[in-house]
Amino acid sequence: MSSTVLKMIGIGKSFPGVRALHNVTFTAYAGEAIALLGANGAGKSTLMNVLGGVIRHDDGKLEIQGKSVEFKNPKDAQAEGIAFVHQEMALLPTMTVMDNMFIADFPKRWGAIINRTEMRNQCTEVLERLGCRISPDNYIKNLGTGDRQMVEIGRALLGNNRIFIFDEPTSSLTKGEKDNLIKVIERLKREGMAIIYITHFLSEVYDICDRVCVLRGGEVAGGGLISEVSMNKLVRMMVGDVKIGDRGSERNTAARKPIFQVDELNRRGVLENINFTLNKGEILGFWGLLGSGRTETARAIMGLDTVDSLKISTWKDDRLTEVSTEFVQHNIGLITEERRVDGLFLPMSVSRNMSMANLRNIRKKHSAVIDRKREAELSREFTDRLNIKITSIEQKVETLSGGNQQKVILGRWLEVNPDILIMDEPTRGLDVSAKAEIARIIVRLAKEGTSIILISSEIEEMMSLCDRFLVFNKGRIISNLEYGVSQEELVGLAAGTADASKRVMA
Amino acid sequence: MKKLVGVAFVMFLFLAAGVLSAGAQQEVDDGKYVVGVSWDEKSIPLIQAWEDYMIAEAEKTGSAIGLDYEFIINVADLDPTRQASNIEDLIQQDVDVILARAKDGAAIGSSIRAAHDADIPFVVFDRKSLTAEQGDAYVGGDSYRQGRSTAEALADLLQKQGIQGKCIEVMGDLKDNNAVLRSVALNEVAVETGALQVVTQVPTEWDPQKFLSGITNALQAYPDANCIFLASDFAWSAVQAALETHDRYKKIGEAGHILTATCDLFPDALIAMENGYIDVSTTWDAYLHAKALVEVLNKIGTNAPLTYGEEGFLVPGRVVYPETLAEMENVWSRDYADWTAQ
Amino acid sequence: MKLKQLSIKDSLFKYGFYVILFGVILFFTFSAEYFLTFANINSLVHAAAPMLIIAAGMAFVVFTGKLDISLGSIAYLSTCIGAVLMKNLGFPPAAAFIIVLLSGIVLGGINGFIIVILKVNPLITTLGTLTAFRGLGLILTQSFEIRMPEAVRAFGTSRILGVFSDVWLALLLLILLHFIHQKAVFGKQVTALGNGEEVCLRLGIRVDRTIFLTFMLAGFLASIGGIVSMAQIGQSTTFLGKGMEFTAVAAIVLGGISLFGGEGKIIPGVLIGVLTLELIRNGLNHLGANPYLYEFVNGGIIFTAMSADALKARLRGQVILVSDENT
Repeated sequence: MSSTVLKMIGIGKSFPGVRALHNVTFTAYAGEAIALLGANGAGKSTLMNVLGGVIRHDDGKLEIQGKSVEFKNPKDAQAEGIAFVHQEMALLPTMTVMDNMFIADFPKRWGAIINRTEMRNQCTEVLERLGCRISPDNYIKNLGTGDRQMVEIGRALLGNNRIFIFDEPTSSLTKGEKDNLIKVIERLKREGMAIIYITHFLSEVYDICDRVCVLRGGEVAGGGLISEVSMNKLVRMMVGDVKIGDRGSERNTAARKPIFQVDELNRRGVLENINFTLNKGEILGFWGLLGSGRTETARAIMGLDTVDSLKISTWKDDRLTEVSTEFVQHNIGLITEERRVDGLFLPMSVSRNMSMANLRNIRKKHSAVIDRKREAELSREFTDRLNIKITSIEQKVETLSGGNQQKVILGRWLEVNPDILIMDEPTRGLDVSAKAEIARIIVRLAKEGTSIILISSEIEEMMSLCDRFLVFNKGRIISNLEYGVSQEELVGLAAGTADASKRVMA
Repeated sequence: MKKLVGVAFVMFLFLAAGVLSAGAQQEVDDGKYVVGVSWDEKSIPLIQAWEDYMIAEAEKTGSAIGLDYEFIINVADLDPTRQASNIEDLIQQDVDVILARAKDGAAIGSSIRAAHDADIPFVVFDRKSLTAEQGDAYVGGDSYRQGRSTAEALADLLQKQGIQGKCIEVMGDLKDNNAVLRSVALNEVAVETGALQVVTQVPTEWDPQKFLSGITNALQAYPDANCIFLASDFAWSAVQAALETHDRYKKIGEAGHILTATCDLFPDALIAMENGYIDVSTTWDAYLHAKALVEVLNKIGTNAPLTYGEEGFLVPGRVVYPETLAEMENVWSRDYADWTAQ
Repeated sequence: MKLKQLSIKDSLFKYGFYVILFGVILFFTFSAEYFLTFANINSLVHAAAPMLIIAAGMAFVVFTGKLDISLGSIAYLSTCIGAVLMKNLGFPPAAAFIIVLLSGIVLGGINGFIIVILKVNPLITTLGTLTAFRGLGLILTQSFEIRMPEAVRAFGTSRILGVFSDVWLALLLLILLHFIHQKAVFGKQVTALGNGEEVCLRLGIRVDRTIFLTFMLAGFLASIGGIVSMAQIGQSTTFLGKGMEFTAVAAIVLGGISLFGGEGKIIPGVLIGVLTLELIRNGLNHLGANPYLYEFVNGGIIFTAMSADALKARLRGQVILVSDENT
């Protein structure tokens, strides 16, 4: 057994009206990775903020290598060798790898001039330690997400840190990048670092971590050596007794009725000859790695990117009619990955946000004035239907949790009641129970006849929801698979390892 | 609440000030011919010159026709709103005639209307009203004739010396009507006399930095240019620097001197002419402006008909050479060379 | 393959401007006899010297992703203070100029204070001080033109090794500033700020202090530019610095310094940008072009540069997408 690096004993923290942490004990060991799991609001962030010196705890104490410590601010925590690798990377795109690593503390000559030789040597050394082949002079803007993350980790390594906290590090990595990160974490472990790993992807926990600690409602719900805990047990620890929304056998595979068709979608260098049909009441999964063309296809359909060729048609009374981009924008709902950026008007109320796509239908008669009463009625109806937890429909969206924000966007499109919905990573960043709830809504919509294109990086989610899969690889659709395909096959096809030739569409 | 008290206090101060100043208003003497003057500012010597020349001229000519002049003078410190209230004050004092140099030609119209409502004649000076209300008379400088007289004098000098002129024309801001008129005048004279040819036009937007670079470049590009025409000489210092750069800042008669004709004869240029660097200029003539003003005021005071051209009383300047400068009287840029605002 | 296609486009943006500039120089050289002569180049850079210095200060502000449109007014007010000291209080020029430089730093500091401490948007702040500083200057000089002592005038037209002294000064300053931007901690922090203040805060950069210093530096350089301009003309005029801030922004964009912050260099950026604008004015002077043409040509160039900047920003997004795919 390795030595204890960090001990948090009996930590308690209350905010006005909320008990965020209660008697939490958490231990990290040198050369090991411990997963910190829990639904959103379980207290993970609070605990890590205590460790990072961002907030101060009420009860309990912290020990680092057996020595009792007290953090008054983030600098104190840094001084004790605690480093964060954030999900949102703190990088400067217009500057070089080297500058990015040293920006907070350059090696100096004469007080103000940067000692470049020293800087280059240290940088090269760290990149070697990470097994990373990027040049110190590369600009961040020219690097992929995985390499950017390496720069973040490199920066943390420079400071002689001993405890590394990874907060959702893989959420936007491709598979190759993810594998590389796992290798790097292995290296860090071998160097005797203690790793705290926060994630929503349970499968990663088994690849990376030695131990696990699960929080629920601000208390420790369980934990131990990962080898002794099954995934089902982990989920139960996290969510209590919520069932993940699996459609089981209620798949819509019977009499398929096409309603929407995309032909000859081409965008140079990005998409190549995309053709597919969508059926009524179907959940069609776009499966593939990040950058494989799945999101790009959705954007092209919505007219958000310029493309070289594209023909969109709808089926009406068994007849195929070509439609314009404008028609698409008015009749297909898009729920985006970046809800905070693309989808929501954060400082505006829930009710305003929900009516945003439906303004044409809630005007007062013969005028352009919005009928606020009607707006409120509809908002109330859908916040109820979607079980959105708000104090009033006038509450600002920025004050809602991620799951509720996503439901507001869903509500917006449900008000319009479109025949087709495209959802791009609708559950990204949500906790398990919020995910389950969104999944239930998706299923219900499909049952009511809405056709849905679902894009998600989470294989479990895709497996449990989709009727059919289109597998994207390097800008092409390489497979069209029915429900029932194995998880291994899907993963293999997306990564390009499995043989797809048998399944290529005509 | 605090705010409210503050606002109330400030309002009170304003009121108090208003009452006090109303009490301090000058009583208008009967029998006197009272002229209310509204200057837009008084921080430049030109305005002081206008005022002094005007008062002197009024005293000189007024008594002969039975006008006992009295002037009430307000200054708006470059604030159009202040000017409007200044003129309102003059109306309240029931002056016989109002004279104003507008800060804002677009705002002066309402003041003219107010004066007319009180049956007070209104004379607009130097800056035109840009509204439908034009006032009873406009008096101002005549940029076209000023440019023309300088240009003609330049042509004359060239012909006397037997030189074909190759002229660098330094223009003003092309959005300024004065600048455009002076340019038109020069180019007409060039064609009519054939004595000179404008080899290049340098636009400056009245920016001295552009006088400097523009003239420097022009001398570079046209080394055989032998005369220079300045639409205004207010930026003489920049002109001097440009000439020095090409080693052509020379007195009349010295080798390398470039024949220099200017408009305005502002203070720096006056010194330059005294020192023999400028060959000819037409003054922006504060004295003649004041004379014309008083002529108009006299007519209004005696109910004589106001007859003048479509443009108003447009006053040309006086043409002046180094030889004639000394004996010329009432040159404001000399009389007020050491003037500083009080 | 994909990456290559885009990088051709990218390099077109990078070097396209130089191609055009070279073309413009060629055109003027062949159509104006005295354009490409030492004397003309000398006086061209001489005329550009004040703008070179002021634009370099503006560049630092732009690197942080902000704008300071009060720089022309700082140049004006600080030189007004100097002119009044010399004229009314009989200060010797050297002493007066030291006070001018201090004034520049203080005025820049006022901008910095309003932005950092009072948290007012930089554009709004400097829009306010643009008017306020000029107003103060007008009050101080009573909108008089104040003639400089002969010694100052002499500096304005003096030469060292045949090149105007202020050209040397401007070039030295540019080199120094380029060095600071590229090699000093401060320069790196300024560039970092242009990538977003939020990120910089998380990285432990003293954001407020850096912004404050940047505005002080810009104010300081504006006052140097003001002195150079005043010495060249030989008098303090109400026109000094008027509109310079906008010319500076235009020059900076021409020089490939992104208004989005974080990108570009003092050399060649500022040098190229300012000299291009001056070169065109100079060239039009030489051609004896229609005076009404000047503003149109300038406007056209600035518009083109701004569009190119925006386009570049869009292209940048695409390049990242493709390189992501390739990793």
